[in-house]
Order: sequence, then structure tokens, then C-alpha cells
Amino acid sequence: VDHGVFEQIALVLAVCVAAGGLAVLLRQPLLVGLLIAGVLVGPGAFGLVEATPEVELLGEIGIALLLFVVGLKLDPRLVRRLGPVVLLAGSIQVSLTALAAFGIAWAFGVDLIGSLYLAAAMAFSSTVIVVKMLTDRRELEQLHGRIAVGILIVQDIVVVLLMIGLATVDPESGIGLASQAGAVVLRGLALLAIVFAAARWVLPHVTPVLARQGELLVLASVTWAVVVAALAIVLGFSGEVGAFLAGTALASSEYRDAISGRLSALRDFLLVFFFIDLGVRLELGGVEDLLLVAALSAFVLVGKPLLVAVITTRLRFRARVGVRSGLTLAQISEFSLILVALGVSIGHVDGRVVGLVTGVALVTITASTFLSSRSEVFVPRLSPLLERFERPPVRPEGPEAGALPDPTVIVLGLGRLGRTVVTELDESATRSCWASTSIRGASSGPSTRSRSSTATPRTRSSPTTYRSLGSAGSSAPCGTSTRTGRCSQPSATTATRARSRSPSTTRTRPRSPDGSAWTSSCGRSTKRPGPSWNGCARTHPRAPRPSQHLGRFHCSSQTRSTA
Amino acid sequence: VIEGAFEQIAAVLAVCVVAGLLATLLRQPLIVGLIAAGIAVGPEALGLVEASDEIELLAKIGISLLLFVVGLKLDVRLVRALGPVALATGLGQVLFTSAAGYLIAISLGFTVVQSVYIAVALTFSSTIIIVKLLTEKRELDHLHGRIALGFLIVQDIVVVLAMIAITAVGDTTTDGSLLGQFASVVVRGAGLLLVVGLIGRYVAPRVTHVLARTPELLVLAAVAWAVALAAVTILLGFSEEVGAFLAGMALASTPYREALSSRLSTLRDFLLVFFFIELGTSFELTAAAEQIPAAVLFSLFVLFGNPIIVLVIMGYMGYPKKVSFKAGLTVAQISEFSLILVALGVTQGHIGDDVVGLVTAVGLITITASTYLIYGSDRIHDRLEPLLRVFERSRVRSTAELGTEREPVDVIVVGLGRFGRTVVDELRTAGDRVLGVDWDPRSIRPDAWGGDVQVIYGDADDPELAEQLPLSGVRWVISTLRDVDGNLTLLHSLERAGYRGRIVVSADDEADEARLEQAGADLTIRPLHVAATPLMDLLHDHGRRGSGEDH
Repeated sequence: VDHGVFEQIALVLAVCVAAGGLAVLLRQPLLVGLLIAGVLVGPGAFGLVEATPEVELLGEIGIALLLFVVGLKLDPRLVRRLGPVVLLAGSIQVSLTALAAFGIAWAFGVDLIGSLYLAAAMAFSSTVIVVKMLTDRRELEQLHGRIAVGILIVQDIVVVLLMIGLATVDPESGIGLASQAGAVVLRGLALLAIVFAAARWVLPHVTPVLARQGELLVLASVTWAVVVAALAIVLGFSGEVGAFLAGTALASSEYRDAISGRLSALRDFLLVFFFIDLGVRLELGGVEDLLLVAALSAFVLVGKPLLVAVITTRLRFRARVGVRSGLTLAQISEFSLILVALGVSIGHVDGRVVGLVTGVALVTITASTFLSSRSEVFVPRLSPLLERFERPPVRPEGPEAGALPDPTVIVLGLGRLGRTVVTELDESATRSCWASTSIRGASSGPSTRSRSSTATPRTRSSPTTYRSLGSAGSSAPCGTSTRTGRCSQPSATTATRARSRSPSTTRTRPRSPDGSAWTSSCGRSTKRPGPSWNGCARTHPRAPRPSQHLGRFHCSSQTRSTA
Repeated sequence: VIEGAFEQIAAVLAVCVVAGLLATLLRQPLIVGLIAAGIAVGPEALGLVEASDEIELLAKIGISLLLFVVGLKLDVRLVRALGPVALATGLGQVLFTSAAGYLIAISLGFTVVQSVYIAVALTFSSTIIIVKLLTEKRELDHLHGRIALGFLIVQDIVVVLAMIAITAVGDTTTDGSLLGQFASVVVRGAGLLLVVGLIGRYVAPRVTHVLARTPELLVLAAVAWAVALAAVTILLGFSEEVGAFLAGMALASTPYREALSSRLSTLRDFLLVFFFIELGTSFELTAAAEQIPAAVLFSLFVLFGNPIIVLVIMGYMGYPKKVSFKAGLTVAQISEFSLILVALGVTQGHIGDDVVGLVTAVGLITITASTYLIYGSDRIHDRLEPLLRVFERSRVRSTAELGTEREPVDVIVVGLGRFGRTVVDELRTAGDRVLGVDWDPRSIRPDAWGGDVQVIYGDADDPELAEQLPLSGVRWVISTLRDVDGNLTLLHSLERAGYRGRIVVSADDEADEARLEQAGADLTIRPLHVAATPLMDLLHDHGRRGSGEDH
């Protein structure tokens, strides 16, 4: 009896776990471990895998599931929510990065198609890794995190479009032969028609029956993904596109969440085989290839963040935000690997390109996790260099700042909490002045005054006062910061310090949201039993110097009981 | 014939879904649909399967995972409690069935060798199918499920010995006696047990803790461990089931076992489909059709004789009749091993196609019939109850000794971030019994909390999470995660698990809030919104007083 394949797979899995465990111990993403495992079991190193058809099949199903889930989760609302600024930033980033990478590859003497593939591969950053990184550092909700995720979504859309385009290009007859365009369009329409006819008339009736048994639902979703992928292959497209379409066809189904939740374990497991297959296919090149990997990696690590930083800064974000967004995106994506693997299966490129991209992926993913963990070091040094790209905030028409009455409340940070506060303040006719580092926060906010280098005040008939923060800081009776986490932004240096009118100047720690005590802001509390505060800051003889608190915000409050 | 392995798998899967859909619509067990699909794609019908290597591989991984998950739920205590009954019923049933089966075969005019093969083939029940059925019925944790599992494992070990005996008899050139080979099996088995035991005791607790920092890695490592140990046991001459089962047992005492078993369930169910396809394709229908009369006789013997012998043995040992009956039903079929065994016999030249056809037919009949029997076991038991009294002793053993006890809880808090910890602290102060769920291995350490909070490892993105939670008596489930997808998954899974209490989830904005409430959340809180409200009260208070004094 031949048990060979099963034992080989067992061995391969063991190598993956060992490499993955090592990566996790060294605080590297799992992806790095899997890539290394792929190279290790491949013919270049130990040559453990002979069972290539099986590994390839499992990897193909894994990729199909990956794209199926991407399609499943594609939410038109998400794209709309992005806003034009991020959309623009993403598109510019992808095209400029690709252009520069193409130049590097071309200069190293890579052929035209190879250079194109390399260029595309360098343009994408890894959603999985970036989101994990931001989540771990609790930065997903911060401005630079949101910009980075927005750019990633744009990139994902570009990847899918590229995959559709690539598979229709015949490698033998050259690129984009016009005579075939008609046939390609026809076949594409046929595929779309089949999938969406099924989505419209078949799936809605079938899914409720399938969902009676969770197991059958999973089986059926995998089948749907694989069958449409196979159909796409038969029609001359790539399986990836088919699987993606299969996902979008189910995106509006009520079982969407149930399906994607259940498929994730299966997808992650099968994707392991994609990385193994990749490792088996890649060819380790000579010195010249090493140099090219080094050049491309350097570009991805330095050029790409810089590019992102400049673009975002030119789009009126603060330089610091731009630098942090850029640093987050300094790696290439697993989609880059999928793209070149697709190129290999179509016959556009050979194992050498796979090897190059795998090398760059390994270097940049490892380095970018490191870079991002040291962002405290890099950001303050790099930001000043980029400040020359900063542009002043848009000044919409409206009354001049000086013509408005002084604010009574200053709100720093317009995240979700900040917005709620400002809205409520507006409703209660309190004059407020708020500051944000977000363009969107500023422009879509309520009728309040905002101030930051990029903030956009907008006027409405509301009693809210408009003043620049610097001067408002000295006049507001209460400063409120809604930011949590480290408060080190320069704008906070001008923050005003407020004292409670209550004699007991207490600062309460966040407690249960039952309202018995309110949640205070960031920073350390400097508990000062100073004299009862009288009037607004302007009249106060001991008005704080702007430099005094450096963002260590003192927000005093009183508990409900004392109120 | 379809080109390409990927396209073939697609076609095979499509047939399976259609068969599964039909089975569901006709209210038949899914397994029957899948076996039918296997027959349909097999060489005697559509002939779709050429990629049999791939299917075999997937099936094997699926089997490993199935048994691994079973092993995860068994710790040493249970083995000790159930060992005697499993051994007695397992061996008793093997002896009885093989003896009676041999006599029936001889009396039907088969030769001695043929009769031996038939007898051995009839003896084994399919571990995989039983475990699958009991998992579906959620009866694996019941007493009868565990006893059934016990004697199935005993059978699996007997299979190994039988296989060795058969190959040894066929191969006269083997040096060393049969006894010597048996002895070496025992030695290898003991060595394997020792190594796995040591790993489970000393290595697994430490390694899993590191691996659990990345949930995906934990799942991958579990699969790798199950498959690797299965491969090792195959190399040692045992079946992969035994190895995967041991792999699961080694991890049974880690805190991650529930999370693992629920995380692996989709993977297992999906891969197991290929087992049924393989099973379906291995039925040789034309040969089977010629043997129908004899097959019906043997099938009746398996369907009635096997349960009765288990009833007798367990009744004698003092188990209540319902437990004995339901355990007995699980042996009322023959196994995929029986098919492998007769195939082996053909290659050895011991038997011809007639025996293969016979065993195939018996397999088809008994596997299908026993699926229905197990599905309807409660109803059948109620019908037959008066008859079954014969098998019950006057003094019935207490069955309460088993079952994993967990302290009852009032509130379950999912997500132990800053907000979650605050909620837990407040609840604890208020005197509620709290169970925390988090996927950070550091927060489930016993020393991370004062001791009066139970914390288990779980992931809200896991659609089976609710299955791990002790939901009876829980009044509130509170999710402090502000991740909509995770919360939606949690809501669905609680609903499916039949949770009756109330559910609180957290959200970021109104759109998410609406989605969550639509999905069944009783209360949605927006932590940031909640935080703003008292702040506003405060500011208003200031504003009024401030402007009053200013002017």
C-alpha cells in the first residue's frame, strides 16, 4: 500500500508549523514563516515535496476560497465610505509605485512582461499584515490607520481588475491582441451572465435549504466557489476571477456572514499549500537576482512609504500622519505572490520572477514589522523633513475667524467620541472650537469651528464660536480631549488646561458605562487642588502657558454625585 | 471525462451538493446523500473521478481530523472509567460476530477461507461513520456515545491484528512466527503510547501556549500534529484513526481543546466529504448485484445480531437499557475496512469477486440502514422499550458519574480588552458569576484573574463559539468587541445553540447598531457614545454656570 503522499503532507505541515512557530516567537507575521517553509521544502533546499499535483490542487482551492471570501465581503458601502481623498491617494500610490518599480526592474534587464509583473507586485501592500499590525498597536481607528486601510482597499480593487485583465492576455500572440478583444469580451459576458443568472434565480431558492445544515452550507459554498472558478478557467479566464465573482454573487445573501465565518479556517489551512506550491515553483537566482531583490526591497521599504507620505501630505494631511501611514504600508502583499503565481500558470513569467517576488516579500514583510514597531523613533525624525510638503487647510468662505465670539469649549480629536461631543454641544448651543488632524473629521463635522493644519472649518447658523485654537486656548473655560492613547501631537501643546469649578478636582478613571462617573481623557492627571476657578481663562491671572503641558491633558471633572 | 484535477474536484463537489440538497429536501441523512454521490461519480456510473489520489489524500486528512477532534474530548479519566465496558463489549462483539458469521457463511456453502474473510469483514463497524453520526446528533458526549467510541477503538486495534494475520497467512516467506509479529505490534503500540503520553504531559501545554498567540497557527499546528501522528501510526503498522485519536487525547488537557474542536469542525466536515466519495467509489456494484440474497441474510444478521450481543453484555454489566440499546445500534453496520480487507484478500488470491460483491452489498445495506437506525434511535427505543426490559438488570448502574462539570455562570463576557475587564470587574463586585472569553492566551491564565472568574479561550469569529459555552442558566451574554463581523457571528452562533438569555453587543456607529439589533441583539451599546453622555452633562453644567458668572 502506498502511503507516500499522506506522509509527505504530514512532513510539510510539520515544517510549516515549525517555521510558523519560530516566526511568531520572533514576533513576525505567520506569513513570513509560511514563505520560509515553502522555500525550505522546495527543491531549492530540502526538496521534500514530490506530491506536487496534490499540493497544487489544495493551493488552488485555497486561493479560490481566499478570493471567494474577498468577493463575499466586498461591500459597496465600504468603497463609498472611503471618500474621494483616500481613493485618490490609493490610485496615485499604486500607479507611481508601479512606475518606479518598473523602472528598477527594467534597469536590471528584466524583460518587458517580467518587469510589468514585478511592477504590479511591488505596488500592493498586505492587508492581512497591516490590519494585524494596526490592531496589535491599537492604531486601526487612528487617522493614519484609517488612511492605510483605505489605500489597501483601493489596492485590492486594483488587484482584482488586474487579474481579470491578465488572464485574457495570450502569452504567445503578444499582449492585448486587438483581434481577440471581441472574443474575450463575449466570453467574459457569458461568464458574468451565468454567474448572475444563478445569483438571481437559483441561489436565493437553494441557500435556505442548504442552510438547514451548516455542514452542507459550507460544502455548497466551497463548491460554488470552485465550480465558478473552474467555469472561468474553461472560458479562458483565471480561476481567481471566477472565485471572486462567485463571492460577489453571494455578497447580498443573508448567509454571507455565516459562510465567511465558517470558511476562514478552511481557507487558512488550504492557503498553506499555496505557499508550499510557491516555494516549490520558485527558482533561486544568482547574484544579479539578489541585487535586484535588494533594490526592489529597498524601494518598497523606503520609496513606497515616502511616496505615500508625500501623497497624503500633499492631500492636506499632516506630515506626521502621512509618515505613519507610509511606514505601515512598507511591504508587499500576499496578492503580489498570487499575481505572479497566476502569471506562471498563464505562462507569462517563469520561476525566476516568483523567486524575486518571494524574496522581496520576505525581506519587506520582516522589515516592515520592525519599522512599524519602531515608529516612535522614525516618525519624529522623518516628519519635519516632509513638513515642507504640507499644504495649508482649505479655507472655505465664511466669517473671518476674528469676527466670531470666543469658544467656550474646545474639543480635541474628532473621532467617534469627539463627534458625538461636538454634535451634542452644538445642539445645546454651546460655543465650541474643535481641533482635528483629520480632513474628513473637519470637513464633514457639524457646524463647529475646527483648527489644525488641515482642518476645514465650515459655518452654519450655530452659536459655535470660531477662533484659531491658539488664541481660543486661552479663553475657553473647559478643554476636553477625546483622544485616548499617547497624546503627543503638537496641536495639543496649545491646549488649555481647565479646572473644575467644583472644589474637589477629581479625575475619574474609565468605569462602567452606567453613567455614574464619566470617562476622562488621556494623559496623566495632575491633581491640583488649586483655587476655585473663576470666570474664563482670559481673566484668569494664572492662565497656563501653551508649552506647559505638552499634550498631557488635564481634564478635570466632577462625578455625578458631586454635581 | 473532465481535464484537470481542479475541474474534476469541482464536478465531484457539484454532484455532492446536488445529492446533499436532495437528501435535505427529502429529509434523509446527509451521509446517505454523500454515499449516493460517491456511487454516482464512481467508475460504474458517471466515472468522473480520475483524481483518486487527491481525493484519497483529502479523505485521509478528513479522517484524521475527525478522530483528532474526538480524541480532544477524551481525557485519561474517561478512559479509565469506560475502559472495562469498552473492552468487554468490544471483544465480546468481535468474538460473537465472527463466530456466528463464520457459521452462517459455512452453512451457505462458502469455503473455509471465504467464510473466514466474510466473518472478519462482518465483525468491524465503521468508526468514522459512527463518530460522524454521533457528532451530528451531538451524542458523542453522552454515555452511550463514549462507550460506543471505546469499543470502536478496541475494534480498530483488533483490525490491525487481523490484517497482520491475513498478510502473514498469505505470505509464507515471512520469517518469524505470527506470535512474534503480534508481540512486535504490542511493543510498537506501547512505545507509541508512551511517547504520545509524554508529549501530552510535558510538551503540549507549553507549545500550545505559544502557538495560541496566533489563532491561525494554532489551527494549523493542530492539523499538522493530527496528520503527523496519523502518518507515524501508519508507518508503525496501525491505522491512521488510532494515531489521530491519540493526537487529540494528547491535547485534551490543554485549555485550547474546545476552541480547537470548534475551529476544526468546518475543515473536518469538508474534508470528510471526500471520505464518503471514496467510499462510494469503492463499492463494486455489478459484483454486488449478484449476491443479493446472501447479502440480505448477512445484513439482517449484522443489523440485529450485533446490537443484541452488545445489549446482552452491557445489560449484564448493569447499564440501563437505553444506554445499552443506543450503544448497540452503533455496531449495526460493517466498515470501510471490510471493503479494504476483502480487496486485500483478492490481491492475496484467497478469495474471488463473489465475496467482494457480497461484502459490498452487505456494506451498502447495513451502512444505509444503520444510519437511519441511529438517527431514529430515540423513537425506536421508545417503541421497543417493553422488549428491551429483558436486557436490564434489576440494579442499574448510576450514569451520573460522567460528564464534565463546570460551575454555572450568570454572565458571559466576550472580549477582555480594557472595556471588557472593567465590565468583568464591576460584575464580579456585584456578585455575579462571570465567565470571560478571550483569544489572548495570556488572559486565560488562571493567575491573570483573582480566581473567581473563569476565563476560556475562544474567538468570536468562530461560528461554533457558542457550542463551547455553558449557556444554560446564563442571563446575559455581553460582547465588548466593537467588531461588527465578530458580533454578527456571535449572534448567529448563540441563536443556533438555542441560547435563551439576553445579549448585549457593542457597536461603533448607528449603522452597525441597526445591523446588530436586526440580527437579534437585545441591547446595543456604543461605548464611545456612552462615554460622551456624562461628559455632555458635565459640560452643560459648566456652560450654564460659566455664562451665568461671566455676564
